[in-house]
Amino acid sequence: MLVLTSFGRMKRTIAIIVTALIFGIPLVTEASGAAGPESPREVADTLQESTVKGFRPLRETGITETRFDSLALKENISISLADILSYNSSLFVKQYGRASMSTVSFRGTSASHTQVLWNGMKINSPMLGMTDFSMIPSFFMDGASLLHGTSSLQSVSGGLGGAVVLKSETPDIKGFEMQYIQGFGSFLTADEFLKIDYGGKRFKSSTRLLLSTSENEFKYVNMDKKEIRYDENMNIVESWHPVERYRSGAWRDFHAMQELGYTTDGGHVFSLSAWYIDSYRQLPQLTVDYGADTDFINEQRESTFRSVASWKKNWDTSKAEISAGYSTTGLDYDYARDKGDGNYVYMTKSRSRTETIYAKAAYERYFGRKWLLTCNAAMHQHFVNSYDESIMVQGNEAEKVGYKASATEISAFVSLKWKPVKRAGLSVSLRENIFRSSFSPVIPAFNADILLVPEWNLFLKGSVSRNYRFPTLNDLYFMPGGNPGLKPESGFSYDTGYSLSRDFNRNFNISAEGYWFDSYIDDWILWVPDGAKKDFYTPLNLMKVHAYGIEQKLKMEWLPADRWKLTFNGNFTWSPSVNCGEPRSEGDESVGKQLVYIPEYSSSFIAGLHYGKWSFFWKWCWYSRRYTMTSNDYTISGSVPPYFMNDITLNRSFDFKRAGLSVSAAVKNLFNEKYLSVLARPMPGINFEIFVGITPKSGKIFQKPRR
Amino acid sequence: MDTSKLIFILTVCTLMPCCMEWDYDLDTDFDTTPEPGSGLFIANEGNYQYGNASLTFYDTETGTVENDVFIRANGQKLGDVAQSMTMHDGTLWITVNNSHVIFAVDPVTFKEKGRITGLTSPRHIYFINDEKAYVTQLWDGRIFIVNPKKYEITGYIDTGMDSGTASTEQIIGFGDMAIVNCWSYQDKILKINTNTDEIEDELRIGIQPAAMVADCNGRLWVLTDGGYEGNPAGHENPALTVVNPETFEIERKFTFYGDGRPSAIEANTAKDSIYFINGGVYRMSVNDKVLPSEAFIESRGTEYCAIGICPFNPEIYVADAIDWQQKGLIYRYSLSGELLDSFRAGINPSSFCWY
Repeated sequence: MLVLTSFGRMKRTIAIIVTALIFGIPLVTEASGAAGPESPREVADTLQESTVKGFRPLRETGITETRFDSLALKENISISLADILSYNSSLFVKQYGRASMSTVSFRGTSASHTQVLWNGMKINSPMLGMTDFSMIPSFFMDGASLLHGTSSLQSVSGGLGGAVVLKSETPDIKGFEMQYIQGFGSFLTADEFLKIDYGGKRFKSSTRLLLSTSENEFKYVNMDKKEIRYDENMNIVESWHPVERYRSGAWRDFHAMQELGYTTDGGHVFSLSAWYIDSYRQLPQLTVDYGADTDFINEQRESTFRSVASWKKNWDTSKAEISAGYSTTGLDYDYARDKGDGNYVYMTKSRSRTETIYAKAAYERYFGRKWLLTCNAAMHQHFVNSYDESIMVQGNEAEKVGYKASATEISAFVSLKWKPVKRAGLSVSLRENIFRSSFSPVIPAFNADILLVPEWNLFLKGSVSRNYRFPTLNDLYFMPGGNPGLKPESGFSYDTGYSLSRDFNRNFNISAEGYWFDSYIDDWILWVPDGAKKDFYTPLNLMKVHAYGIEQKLKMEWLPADRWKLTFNGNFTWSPSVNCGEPRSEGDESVGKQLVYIPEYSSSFIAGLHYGKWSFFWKWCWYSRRYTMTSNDYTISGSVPPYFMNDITLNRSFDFKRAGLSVSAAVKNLFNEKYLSVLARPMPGINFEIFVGITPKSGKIFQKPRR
Repeated sequence: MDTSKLIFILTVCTLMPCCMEWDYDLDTDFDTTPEPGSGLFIANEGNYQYGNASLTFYDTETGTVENDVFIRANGQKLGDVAQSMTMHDGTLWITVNNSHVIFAVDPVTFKEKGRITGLTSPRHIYFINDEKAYVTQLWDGRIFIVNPKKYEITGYIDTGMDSGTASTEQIIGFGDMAIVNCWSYQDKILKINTNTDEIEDELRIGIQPAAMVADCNGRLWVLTDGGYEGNPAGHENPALTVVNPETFEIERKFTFYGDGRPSAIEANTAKDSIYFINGGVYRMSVNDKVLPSEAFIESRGTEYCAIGICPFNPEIYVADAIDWQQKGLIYRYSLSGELLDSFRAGINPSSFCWY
């Protein structure tokens, strides 16, 4: 797949692409042959840099991967990875509101079926199994890719839908660089971002700070409830849908990230990444809440620290990596209502502390030019202490409701990739997981691809695998309701498709990918009420799910005239995800129906128009109806209506002698859509943001970078 | 660049549709007009945090079902977690727990007549008279005193329970006494003097008294669910306990053994038989000495969650939540346990109220 990384490097990139398209496959052929001009080390290095050269490295045999270029990730400082994924991918992003919890799911699966790695370490909550993508500022990531379906097994297990692989790193620069961006937006939103990079001969550093705050009090017409007016006899004489403020939706997020890198003469690369998050978020009332907005507390506070240290070394035909990490999250959630006298009744005072220790060793070796052996083993040790302070009988601290648990998660992986002929690649992988004391069956995966039309770089690809996802610690131990007897969810998946790319006359290029995917997931875990009183829920292995469909991606770039450029990046997904188990009882109408909150159709695109230092982007996404009832009823509470969303952004960069300056303005929800992502959770109408960024280029401290 | 091409492209892009479909096809016409003596209202609790509670009306004479009557009549949603209903003086009162509101509804037109707000976490409303009612709460240790005519809170009864674990649930009246079961993380029932609004007595009855019903002998049957393993309030086998409300003493206790979580106790019209759900539906005479060993209505993979005995016809209505995320099924049985028919209500049908 072709990935174009920046406008500034367009001409060079195009030249590389054209060269690669015309000569790329023969180059591989030569490199694969015994008499090739490149040394094995060069081959290994070349393969690592493959994305701009237009041929498929052995490592990526049969892999379905979507990579996000830095332009997409660095669009503006206020957007999270959830926003990036909404407009740049075929994934379904479920948002509970502006800067509220956002989860991501692939190919008709659930959010907990999406595994998320940051610099190799899993960052899914060990309690919930999912990741809140609204807590990941895209500006902090230097690389992001999606591994769809079976391809996720190459990096991690448990991704029944897929995996999101995130990377932050030190930049490849010489000297100092600094960037400061400030943004202001509607609803009293303010963002500040500071980045200071240093690159020396051996030592590199990158420091990033981000502060985002908002009162977030947008107004909306509440169509779910009515205000009423009585006459003197207490008869209702008037009723209307009120214009309400979005109540209790403020946030303050602070992120700090430090990257350090050191390279020795011998080529040993040491790196350290540390990421701290301090977040305060209010959680808004439902649209059907008749309580006053001043009489309640509904807020979440999170402190997270993650760090990963690693050592890497490349040899002529092999490379090795050892990494270790630590992650801790303190998550508090309070829900209380004022008794009317200033004293609050706490209904929930949830306190959870999670810690994860991570270690991984990986080794990769080429045998000749046709074989690649990859093996790695990763260990995550989780500790969870979760309880509700509001539930203390007679104030007895020792009688808090909650649980303490730990779990060891080990995953070992070995893969052998083979290029039997010039145009074809095969890959066989095995993965074994241990969770607590349970061993998963050996998980096999088979991937293959073949180059059909070199001129179009047209590959046919396919993969098939099994996969397992172990229950989360909440699934097993949550008090009340945890079910230690849960079985892991198991899946069988295959996909097949094509990818192509071509450059026409150096001023138009196109790339496309399309896949058919098909998977069966058994023992799907659902939380259901435990008993008719419904005082608490318990997880059960309840469903068998058949998720299948089509993913289609299309990228185009056109240089119609000097200084003009048009870009397009579009995605379309059709993903039926159907309960195919047995009916629970004679009245069960859920069999054969789409799962709740998973759209059958979704689509998105970003179109860009660039002229000189001006850039204009139009972002568009569409989700079809999401059902909220398993029977797929078409009623006011049975589904969330489909919606289209449009955002536009206009950027202008200025190049002054001592600094670069960028100015950006964004309009979100351009057509002021009234829409929902989740029932009873309003979303904002049209809103605006402006950003100003400065990048000093010279001076005593900030020397002009020499890339 | 050819400017006309650029303009063409931008024009096409701008004309792409962008409107969200927001039509629910709400049918505001009803096929039936409720008449006293043949009406059944079903509160469908919905799913917590979904705001999808609803109200169903069923005509016991014609078998006509009208779903979503509240939103169809009023153009607003019923709310989040429809907890309970009470019919008083020709008005249907619906307690919507997580919307913190109690709606007064005209049972004939389904239109809202008024609402009580300012509640912490309302569970049930119990009428003392036309101008005074009690509203029980979860988490909040106060029972609210309200004036239903003015839809306003007039006072509180402080139970002394700690916030967070406080719970008052159903209320059953015996003369000037109102007996309240304290359910979540509690183990007692309270006796309140409705003239003075003071708690006169309390009785520890077992862990988590979940539901109550009065029988023909003037006795109170209290179902305790026993909590759960790890419950800081304790954990024990569920039980049915018979209390003399006058002496406020326990007269009999029937303990459940096994894995079930009994709930939803109900009495027949003559109040000489007790029905409860424990997987299936069980029936026992108020004079029985032991719990029934076999279900009166077997569970067939069903998730029975509410039971109602029709005061107009000799019939039993049992609600099946199925998977808690689709329209529940209401089964209509004869008193001999024969299935007569069934119909769909809303999500999580949780309580019945006769009109």
